Amino acid sequence: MIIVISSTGDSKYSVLDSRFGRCSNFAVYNSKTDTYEFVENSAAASGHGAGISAAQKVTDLKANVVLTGNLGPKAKQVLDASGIKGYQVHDMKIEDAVHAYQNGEAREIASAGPSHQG
Amino acid sequence: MKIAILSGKGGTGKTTVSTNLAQIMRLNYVDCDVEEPNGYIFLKPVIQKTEEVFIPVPLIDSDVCTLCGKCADSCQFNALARTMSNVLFFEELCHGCGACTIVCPALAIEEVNRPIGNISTGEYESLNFMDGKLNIKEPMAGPIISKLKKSIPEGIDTIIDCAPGTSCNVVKALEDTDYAILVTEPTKFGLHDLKLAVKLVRNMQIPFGIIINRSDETVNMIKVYCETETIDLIGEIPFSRRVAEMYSNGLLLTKDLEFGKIFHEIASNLRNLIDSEVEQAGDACK
Amino acid sequence: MQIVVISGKGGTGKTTLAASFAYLGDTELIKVDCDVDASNLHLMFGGRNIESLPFEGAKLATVTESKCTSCGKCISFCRFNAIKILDNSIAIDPMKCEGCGACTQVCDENAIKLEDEVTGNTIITDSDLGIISRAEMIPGAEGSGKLVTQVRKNALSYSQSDNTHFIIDGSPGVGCSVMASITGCDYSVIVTEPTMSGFEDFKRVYALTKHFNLKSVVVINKYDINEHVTAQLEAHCDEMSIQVAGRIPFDRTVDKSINSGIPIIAYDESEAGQAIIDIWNQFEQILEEKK
Repeated sequence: MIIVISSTGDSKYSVLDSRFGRCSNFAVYNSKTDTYEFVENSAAASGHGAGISAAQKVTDLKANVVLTGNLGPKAKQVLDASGIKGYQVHDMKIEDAVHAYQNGEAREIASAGPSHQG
Repeated sequence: MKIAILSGKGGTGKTTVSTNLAQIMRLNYVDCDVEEPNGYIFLKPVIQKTEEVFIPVPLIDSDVCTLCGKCADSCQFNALARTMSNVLFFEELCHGCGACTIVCPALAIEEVNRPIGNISTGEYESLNFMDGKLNIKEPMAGPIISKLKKSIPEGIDTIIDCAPGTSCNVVKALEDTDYAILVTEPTKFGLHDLKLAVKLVRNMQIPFGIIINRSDETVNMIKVYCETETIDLIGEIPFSRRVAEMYSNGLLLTKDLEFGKIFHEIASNLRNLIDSEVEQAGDACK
Repeated sequence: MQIVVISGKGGTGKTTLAASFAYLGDTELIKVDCDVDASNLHLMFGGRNIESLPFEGAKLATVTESKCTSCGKCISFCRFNAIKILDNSIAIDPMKCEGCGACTQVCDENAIKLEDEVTGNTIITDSDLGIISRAEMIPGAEGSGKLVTQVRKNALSYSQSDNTHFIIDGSPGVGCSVMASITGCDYSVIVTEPTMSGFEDFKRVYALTKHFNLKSVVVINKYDINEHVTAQLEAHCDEMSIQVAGRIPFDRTVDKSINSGIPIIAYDESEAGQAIIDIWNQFEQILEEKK
């Protein structure tokens, strides 16, 4: 499966970025190969709709799961329509976030948080 | 001839000046402050027609849509998102530009009208009155202002009451006008924002003059600025509690003896200034 | 907690009230000026700008003349009348262009592209009374709502803890700038005046706050200019279960205070100042409870 994590940097030791729409990078973890790829988040500079644009990007990356701090209502709407689940993880390294999810320690984001928080 | 009234700072007296000048000079009046229109309170028009204003927005036929995502990629406002199952549309972000419709290779997008507000047309004292109103929770006033401007009949002298500030809403109201009146008040805030409004009209190359409202002993801060910048001072309306009360009751000041005279004088100065602008423009063309 | 001061109608006293609250609050209270096209809050405080960054809030179509064949296709697709034919090329009016890119999609010669446009500067001012996050929009620029959103984000980045409070000076109106100022706030203080215009505008901006699920309180400024309309306003608020936090009398000292840069609450004899202090005390209680 593909897990996408909102990240502050471009290594698996970087800290997770709790903002989804405007995080600086997306970490793309492939569980089959146990490898990480990093993609810059061009939506970060967006005006309104950064969350939508970021969710679109995550869809294009064919993610199954997203790990982040907060998902605004529009971003969640886009991810829901693609069957991508969001899980809430707090500030920790990307690698640790993936392990937390795999160990069932991350809480599923069932409803969207407030808008304009990322 | 179209005369626009703007200010920079809110509450300096745009509507006071525009409604009273319109009445005394027998001009048609258009209220382009579509977020908070107030001109009707003072001119008390008989409204003959109200029509909705729409913007064209995409409607995607999911049977034809291939989920290629080109529409979402083309949208500069993030109003479209391609998901694994459909294309989502976020209407409040849509500017009605039609880019998505142009790029769709499957011709899956049809444009439909989405209402964002309305325009009313009517008469006050046998003169034309128009205003626009943005629906609450709609973010964009622009299309209504543009529609209002398009609806102004040619060859009829009109006063255009603009919104406060210096944003794109004011620009749309100012476009293709012949003269601008900047209404200010003698306070630090008034002067600060007046300078921004002056920058705007200069950028747009619209000849302009200033009216100082609520003038009192501090008026020199504006007068000195006008002199330094060689800006025409059209007139001054002195501060008066009586005026504030009349305004609060929705009354035109032209009905008052003292202020009626003041507006007559302002109207006369304005006519002279506009005539000399027209003359200068004519000379420049020779 | 984020408290936003709005009005609907311009000139009712938003900035006077927001500045007064800022003086009465402690220096940790972050001040946010969201009236980006007529930014006045900082005029009441001294200090210096410690950050000023250009903000690219819009896109602008630009044409490469050497590639343009003046076919005019872009003109027929531009919905904003931003393009005209000029000599051997086309001219794009930057004031009218909304940066939608429709023209870039139809141009067969790839002669047009969208470029980022600076629409203003975001600024952080370090005043004697703490941080002010504000912006100066370029007169006539598009995208004021985006600039407001950035000003608020900048303010958030200065918050020291979860207990930092924000006082936000909003802009007049009910459109995208105001929406960007009020979204996510905890309270809105609607400053109105007892005039027919003020009353109508108040109703519209209140409806907007309901849509955003904001708790609102009302302050009636210059209430004694027309006590009849004040009574109507208060009756309306009562009917709608909207709390009136206070009334401020008309006081010419306010203009003096603006011109001298001294807060109205510092004038001991000012009745307006005293009324504002009473209103603030109510808020302070709420902020204390939140801590």
